[in-house]
Amino acid sequence: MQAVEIQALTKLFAGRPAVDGLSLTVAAGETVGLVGPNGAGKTTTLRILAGLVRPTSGDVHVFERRVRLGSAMAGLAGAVVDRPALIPHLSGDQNLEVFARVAGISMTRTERAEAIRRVGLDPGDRRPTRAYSTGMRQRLAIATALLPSPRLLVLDEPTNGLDPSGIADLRQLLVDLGGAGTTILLSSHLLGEVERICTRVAIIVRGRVLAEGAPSEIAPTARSARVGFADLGTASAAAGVARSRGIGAQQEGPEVRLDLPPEELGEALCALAAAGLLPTSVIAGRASLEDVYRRYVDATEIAKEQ
Amino acid sequence: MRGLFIAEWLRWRSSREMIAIVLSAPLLAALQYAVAYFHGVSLVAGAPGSHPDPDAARLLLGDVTFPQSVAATLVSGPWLSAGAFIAAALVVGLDFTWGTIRTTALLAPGRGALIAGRCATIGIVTTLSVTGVAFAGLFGPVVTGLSGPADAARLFAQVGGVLLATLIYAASGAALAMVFRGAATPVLVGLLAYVAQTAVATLPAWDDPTLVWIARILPTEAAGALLVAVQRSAGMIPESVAMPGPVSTPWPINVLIAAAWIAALVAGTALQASRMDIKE
Repeated sequence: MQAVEIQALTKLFAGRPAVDGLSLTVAAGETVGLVGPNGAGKTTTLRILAGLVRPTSGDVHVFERRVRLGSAMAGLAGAVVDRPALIPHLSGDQNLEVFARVAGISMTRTERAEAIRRVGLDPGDRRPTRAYSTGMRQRLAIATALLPSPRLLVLDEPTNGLDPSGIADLRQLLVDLGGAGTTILLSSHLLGEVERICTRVAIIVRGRVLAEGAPSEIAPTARSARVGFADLGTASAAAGVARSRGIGAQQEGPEVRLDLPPEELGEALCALAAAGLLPTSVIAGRASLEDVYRRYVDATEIAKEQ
Repeated sequence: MRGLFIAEWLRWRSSREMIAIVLSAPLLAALQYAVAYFHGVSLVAGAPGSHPDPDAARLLLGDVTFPQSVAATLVSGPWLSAGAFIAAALVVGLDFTWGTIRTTALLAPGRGALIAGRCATIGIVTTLSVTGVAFAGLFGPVVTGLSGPADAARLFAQVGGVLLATLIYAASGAALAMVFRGAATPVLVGLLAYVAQTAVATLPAWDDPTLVWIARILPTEAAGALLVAVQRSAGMIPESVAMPGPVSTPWPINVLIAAAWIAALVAGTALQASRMDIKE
């Protein structure tokens, strides 16, 4: 069963596409990460999915129910989209009490305390949430999203404001929820975290999905090598030679990252040596998600400039 | 729906700003009433050494000051109207300022239900404030024996008129907060709209019977005309005094216009809520 089906989704803001014909499916029980640069359309896609924003065209279904603007999502999906939003003069416990009532749920104090503890906060903290740190607000917002025990959890950059231990706690929480069968769709700029948490990744650039699949599936399509040189000048020249042969090359200090299949690496190194550019080190291996991401984003930027 | 209603009350329980507004508006109105009360008592008592006219005392106590004029006296100041407008603007607008409109919209069974809960809360608080102050004001003179029994029908009519007029302001505050997606701008816009409508309504052109109908349907003028009708019924404005312009509207028409405004503003607020993109 598909938890999320997004078909040819488009959203125009003042005539400019924020989302441009985006299609994506998420199977029930999957944890899918959306990655992409700022302004790629990730947050807008999640807002449409949550019924907060009306699409210009296209269809979105959550568990086979068509999402319409303002349609009831409670019980089906929980979401934290954009910055965490809480009632500033109420404590964490009081916020949960209010939002539980909004969702039509009657929770005892003990149940609320458990929900607060689950996201790593102190249920005895009586301070108003205006005194909370960004990370604490983020945790409480996630607790709010989990109130209706949703089958689908939508999180927009959930690690924002979290310290390293908070990120680790959140990772464990998401892994636990995923293990319990909750479908999770999240966006993040922390590619390492996405690679660790998500079973599938979609790279979104300029409102479209450019690549999607399991991290292990996407990465081999863009195997790369890091070739080190003695100085910056040699590295710059090597990058130029590689590009002249149609190889994607990115200089990073005295290193050049070559995007090419492994069977073509030897030939490329021979070409560099023939040009008098002898490498001092070669590290070949599977590309990280960051490598893949950068390849797609860079390619889009180059295409945009041309 | 019940959950949304309870949530609305829980939402404001510790808000110093909201508590201050909800308490201060009726308190200021009650203070205004008290001032009028003691002024009336001093008029009846007369200056030391003088002999007050018994007929004048009867007129002040029975027909003008107490108890028939309770509602009219309460609304002769802006406190209840301004308090209702600002409180409603805060109830709706702060949700946008805080960004909690996203959370509530995601969790609520529907946006229509969400707005219904808000409007019900605003309506109930406004009704409790107006009727509470009106009947508290009535209680004093009756138990102290300064007044005879009230003309119940007239009194209830007055309180109803005041309530309708105050609800226009409350509904305007909620509607403007929904349009401007915040709490501060609606208060400023509401103030400017009030000044503009008052200026328009005092134009000499309103002697023209056709143009006067335009002023009649302006919301603050409809509320004002309703209050003038209330004051007339309390005997504060003698029937012999001619009222030019919009305020000359017969009270049943005022009631209809006021009710239409409240319905239109609530419907507009609900429509805007159901159609808007939430990007806060």
